[in-house]
Amino acid sequence: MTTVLMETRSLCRYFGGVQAIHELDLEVRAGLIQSVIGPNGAGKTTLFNVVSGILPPTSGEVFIDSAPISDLAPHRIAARGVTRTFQNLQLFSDMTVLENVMVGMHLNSRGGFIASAFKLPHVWKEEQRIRSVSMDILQFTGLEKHASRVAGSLPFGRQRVLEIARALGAEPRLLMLDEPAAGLNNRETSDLSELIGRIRDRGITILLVEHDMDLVMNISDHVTVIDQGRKIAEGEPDQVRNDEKVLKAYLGEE
Amino acid sequence: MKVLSWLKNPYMGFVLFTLLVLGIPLVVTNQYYLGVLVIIAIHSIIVLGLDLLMGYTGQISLGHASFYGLGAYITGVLSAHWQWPPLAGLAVTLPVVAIIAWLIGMPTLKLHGHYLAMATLGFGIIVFIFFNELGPLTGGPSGLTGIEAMNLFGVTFDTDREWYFLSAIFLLAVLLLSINVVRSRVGRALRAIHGSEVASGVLGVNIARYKVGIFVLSALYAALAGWLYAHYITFISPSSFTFMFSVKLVTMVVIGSLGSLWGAIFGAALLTSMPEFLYVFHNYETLVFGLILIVVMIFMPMGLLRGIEDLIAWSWHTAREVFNPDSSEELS
Repeated sequence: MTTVLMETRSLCRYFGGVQAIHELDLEVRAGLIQSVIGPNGAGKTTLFNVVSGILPPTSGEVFIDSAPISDLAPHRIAARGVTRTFQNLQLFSDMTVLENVMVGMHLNSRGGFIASAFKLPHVWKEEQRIRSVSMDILQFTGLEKHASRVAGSLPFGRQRVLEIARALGAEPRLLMLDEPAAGLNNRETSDLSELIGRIRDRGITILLVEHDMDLVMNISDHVTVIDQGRKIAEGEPDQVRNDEKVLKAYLGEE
Repeated sequence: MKVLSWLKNPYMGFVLFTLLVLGIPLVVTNQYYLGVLVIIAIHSIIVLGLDLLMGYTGQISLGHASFYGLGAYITGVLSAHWQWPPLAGLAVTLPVVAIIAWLIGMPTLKLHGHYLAMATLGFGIIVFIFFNELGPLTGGPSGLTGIEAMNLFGVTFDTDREWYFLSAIFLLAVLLLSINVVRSRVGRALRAIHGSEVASGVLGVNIARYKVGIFVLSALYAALAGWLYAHYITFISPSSFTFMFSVKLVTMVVIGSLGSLWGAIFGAALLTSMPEFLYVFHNYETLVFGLILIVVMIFMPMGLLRGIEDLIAWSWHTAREVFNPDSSEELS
């Protein structure tokens, strides 16, 4: 039995009368690739926003390592080892590809205003280290050729990969990927699927929200299906694929 | 093209700029023009800080004239009433302004949106009223006289030539600190906040802390400039620190080029010296000034410095294509 890294208990998030998430219990176990799927508007992105601290929950609680975190600001949750990517890309588009990953390393590096302004020796050394680790990450994700390009000028598929590379800079224990395959072609999607596998092999737990069923079914160890903010099924990919309620949610009644 | 990228290294730029600054007094010997250059250096110090705040971090302050004014008045009052030496005045000025800026920044920068602009606008007006109304201390609307001339470690600075070098040293020091900040973990965090607040948050950047930090730093730059100004002119009055001057400082940043330290200095130099050139237009000075602003904003929305860079790059390309059409492919 593996340990539970992140958990939600009776999590609710309402927008006025809309129940984006309702009484959701979810467990993410360390070392696995877990996916959350569901029709459009099922509450998947809202789930990510609540877990990463961007939105407060209406009620219920999120736990990381059994400690409640829903009162914490996003940067404190990141410090607990949870980071994410965004469905609608949120790259620092005026900065270079390398600088994006270097920002990603913010938590793993030191240096405040005064030390930086006077460029103290340890700041100089730290800068070298940040640069070289970031280059390693670009190599790992296959972006090293584009290191000095401005992020906003990358082709769309590469921008998606850069979002992941930047998040890896934070050395998360849990990486939440919000529809990383959206807008990618078949080749890019299979590269992505291979990359996600390699990230898991590094010991990073992955929580994936995705519409591409082939991708989800191929790489997931565990799948949770939500519809209208409620969990309707969960289990291994094959179990879920044949679940009646899941088919109904996707294809409609009758 | 290699030369260009070499020039783009800010430290190389810093060396060239230092040489330029040292070379100017060989050509300019007129006391009056040296005096204009001193004011340009003082304004540049404020605008560098404002550019770190606006251009890099994306936060707007409409009250930097008041930090400039506080810097001038704190040291001015201590000097005129109690004969404090300038350095002692500076030692009081900087911490006091830092605390005030922190008190304004802390509550407003935690909120989303441009609350800082509102808060600093109000703060600037309040400070201006204080300068006017605290007559016994500040001399009221007619100003504060009797501020001691600059004296550092036994050296007195009297002539404009001496002042040129003194202000240049402070400008170069502030510029170097700013380059260091921009090219560091802190500078990247600031630009990341400008680029996307949500993304920087989930990557662990403490957004409020960095916004407040850069706001305090920019207020300190303004206070330092005010301290220099008070001991340079040795007379200060509230009319130098109005809301209109805050707006002018913002204009210097925007005209120069947001998010470029060189642009900040360029903007400060241009707008400070412009009245000297526009003098020939007599009563139409403001009109011409307004026209220049409009033209720059329409045709070079990224600021003059970047606009000129683009223009040079464009004519370089065009020239290469005209003289050597085959090489056009290599250019990209």
